[in-house]
Amino acid sequence: MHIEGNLITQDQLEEIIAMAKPCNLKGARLYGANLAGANLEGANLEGVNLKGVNLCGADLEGAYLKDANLEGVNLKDANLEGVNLKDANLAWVNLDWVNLAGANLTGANLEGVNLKGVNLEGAKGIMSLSIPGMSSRGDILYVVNHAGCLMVKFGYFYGNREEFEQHVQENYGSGKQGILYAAVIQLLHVWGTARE
Amino acid sequence: MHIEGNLITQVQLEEIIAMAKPCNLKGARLYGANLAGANLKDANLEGANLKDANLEGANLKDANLKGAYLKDANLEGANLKDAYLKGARLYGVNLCGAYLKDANLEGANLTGANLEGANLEGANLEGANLCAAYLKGANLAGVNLKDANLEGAYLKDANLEGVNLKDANLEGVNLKGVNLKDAYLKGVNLEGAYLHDANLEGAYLYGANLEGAKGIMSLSIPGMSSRGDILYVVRHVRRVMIKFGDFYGDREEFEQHVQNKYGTTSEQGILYAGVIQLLHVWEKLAPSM
Repeated sequence: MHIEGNLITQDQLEEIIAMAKPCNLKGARLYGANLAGANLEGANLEGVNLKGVNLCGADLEGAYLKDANLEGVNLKDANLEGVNLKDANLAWVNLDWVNLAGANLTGANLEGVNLKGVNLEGAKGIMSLSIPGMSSRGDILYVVNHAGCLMVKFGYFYGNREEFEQHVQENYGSGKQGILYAAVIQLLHVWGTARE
Repeated sequence: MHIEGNLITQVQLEEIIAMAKPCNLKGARLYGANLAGANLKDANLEGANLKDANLEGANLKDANLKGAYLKDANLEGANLKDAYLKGARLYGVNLCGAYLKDANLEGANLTGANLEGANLEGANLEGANLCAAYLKGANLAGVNLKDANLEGAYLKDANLEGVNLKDANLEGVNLKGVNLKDAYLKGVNLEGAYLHDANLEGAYLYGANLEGAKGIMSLSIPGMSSRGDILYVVRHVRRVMIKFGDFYGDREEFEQHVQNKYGTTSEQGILYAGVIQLLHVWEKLAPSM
């Protein structure tokens, strides 16, 4: 069956997933599909538009999701260990307590993403800093590397490094917190210019 | 005498204990009974109702207390070594200074229990409920607390060396000065916990949630370690202690370690210099953080 660019039915989809391991759904149009609890281990979902797809509890371990669009998708209880999400759109995705250990998040869009309790151990392309004193709410600072341009997610803030610097300057100036932020920004700068 | 489910008098009870060794008090209704200092070694107290009973200093070694109801009972200084307390209901119980070495408390409910100075070494508390339990100075070395709920528990000066806290809930718990050496903390929830002066040497923290935790900084920076290790920095009174992969030491030792490994001019050396600068600033500027 040739998938790429084709709109496939739920029945066809289930058949493909059941038959081929790992399955190749590259470029498939899956709008509205129900993939809750599906075994998609190592699947190729490159460039797939998964917006509106139900992926709750799906096993996506080691799947290839480069350039995939996951905007607003609920990934609750999904297994994303070692998944490749390079340049994927994860805007407004629910990643509550998801395991992203060893995942590649280089260039991924994390705008509005809830990363509470997410395991990012060994993840690539993303830095996470949890530093008491930076935020009264205990927010974690996430930095995604977009080919040298850093995108920062910190509480409600989402923007590039320059915007983050501006945001910090406006909020903390040169006080004690300002000095702490200056060291953080310096570290971001070093990381942004280094190779992983 | 048939005991099961019967309400017996204090005199009858003393008679049973004195006569039968080990005594069988399975399912007996013993609420409010005075069993202080009683020798109940190997006794069968399965499902017994011991609410408000006084068991102070009692010998319950190897006793079977499976599913027993011990709400607000006084077990201060009792010997419960190797006792079987699976699923026992121990809400608000006083276990101050009790000896619970190798006891089985799997799934037991110890909500609000007082375990100050108790010795629980090697005990099994898997899935136990220890919400708001008072564990000041308790010895929890080698205890299995997998999936246990310790929300609101008080653990100051407790010994948690080698404890298994896999997937346990320690949200908001005060772990000041707690010894967590070689503790297994995989997937533990330490959200908002207080970790000043805690010893994390050799602890395994994979997937631990430290969101909003105080006294601990965690840095996950790709490029720092090929294994994807996270750098943990715990604030102590006059210094910070760093845990990074197999390394555990203070900032000066970490600087030396990094310098020896990466030098100062390599890409990694420069990245570590940025990290060390951040540690330095955090250490100096925020003693209360």
